[in-house]
Amino acid sequence: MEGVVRVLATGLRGMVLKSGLTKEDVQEIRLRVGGPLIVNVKGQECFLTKDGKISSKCEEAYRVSRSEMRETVEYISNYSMYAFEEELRQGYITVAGGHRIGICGKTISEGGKVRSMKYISFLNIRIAHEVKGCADKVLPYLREGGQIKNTLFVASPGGGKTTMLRDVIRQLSCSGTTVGVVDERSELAACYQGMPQNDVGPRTDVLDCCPKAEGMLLLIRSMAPELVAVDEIGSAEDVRALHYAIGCGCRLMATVHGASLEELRKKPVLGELMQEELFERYVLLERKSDGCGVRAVLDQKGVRL
Amino acid sequence: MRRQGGFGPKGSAAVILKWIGSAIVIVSCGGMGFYFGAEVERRIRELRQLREIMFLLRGDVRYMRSPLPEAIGRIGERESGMWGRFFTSVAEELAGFDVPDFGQVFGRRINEIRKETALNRQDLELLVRFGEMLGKMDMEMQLNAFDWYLEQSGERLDKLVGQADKQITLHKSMGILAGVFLLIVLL
Repeated sequence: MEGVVRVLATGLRGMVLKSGLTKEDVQEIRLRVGGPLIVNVKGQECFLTKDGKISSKCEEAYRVSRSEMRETVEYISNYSMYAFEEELRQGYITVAGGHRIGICGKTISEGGKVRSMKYISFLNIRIAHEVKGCADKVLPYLREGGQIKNTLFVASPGGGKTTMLRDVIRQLSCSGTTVGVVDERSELAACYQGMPQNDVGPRTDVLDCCPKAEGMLLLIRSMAPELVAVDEIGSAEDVRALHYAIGCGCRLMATVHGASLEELRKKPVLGELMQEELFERYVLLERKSDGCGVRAVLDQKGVRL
Repeated sequence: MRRQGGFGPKGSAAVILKWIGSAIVIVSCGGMGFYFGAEVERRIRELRQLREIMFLLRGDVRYMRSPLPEAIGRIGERESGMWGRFFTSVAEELAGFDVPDFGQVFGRRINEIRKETALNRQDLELLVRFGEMLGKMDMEMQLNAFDWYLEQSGERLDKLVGQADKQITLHKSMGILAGVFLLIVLL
């Protein structure tokens, strides 16, 4: 847990460490200025008291101060807000270890677009979990006659898409497939100074912090991967890059936000993809304490396998 | 009337001692003058080295968007001597995430090298103020901070270089003259 909480203000760090919670237990830590210190433990919301005890009563919770929030933001940004301007515009920063921190405050807009953020008052620290072996059940469905199927992992936020995709990448890489990962948010491989902190296998090349669409083209040109993996696709640009990758003979694995296939069909860009049957497998996931609840594996027609 | 100790074995020993004493006074005072002259040269070297470091840091921040601990750590590895150690120590302290403000860490580490550096109080204050600007706000602000420091330190360096020859000669002459003056007073 120490690696995760080191980005918290020193006072808050002590409380979380005193609580005895482990990294495996905690899914989220939520900080709001003047609000209670909330920890999501195995899907259950808990409050942390000043002396590090876990409570179910909001009134007993420790209230996060403005100075603690400012200190935490300093640590999250590694004393360098300027280095995270792009991330700030998107509302999150990924820290060492692949933990994604959602950020809210007052936005500064310019020409109708978010330029930066000030008075940061709300943070959601999402703890990344590396669950080796969580893809064991789905992996047999993702290969047929030695060929990898283009696969889309579908789940709502926190449903374990990234965890599942990471393990699939690791296992395929270990079994001899050259994998190229475009890790736009540093969540899959959690690179620190270019080195993956998560195990993504021995035959995996990672393009860290790179926009997905551009990254896919770059990877295909430079590293000749057999499989390209990306997290959270959605834009028209992403789809164009996916088509290019398929055209180059690469196999694809991607994740997307969604609760069901019906919901995806209604989305303008993804709906078209589904009609084209670009993906041959859909893996529907659901939120579980270990982050890897497989609801169903479907083929390109949406038929359950 | 003969002065005591003027002649004879005791007298000649006293004369020799006087000569040795005089030589020590002249050499020490002259040495002090040469030392202060060398300090001016060292200050010029250090100012130049710091400006070079700031150019590199500016480039790292501007083009690589490296966070400060990372960029500063690289400078620490690259530079030798006191400034190399200084930047390494700043990077190490920042990595601990125990102090909430970059300027605080930077300022404290500057205080620790005050006795070691040839930079004067104003040079160091400039550096402290620069440190207080770093890490805050956006890229534009960072680059402005670097430009401000480079401009200010550049002006100081130009002024110093312009006066260096005079200052060095002055220190050396003053040292020797101070020695001669002391000799006259003592003898």
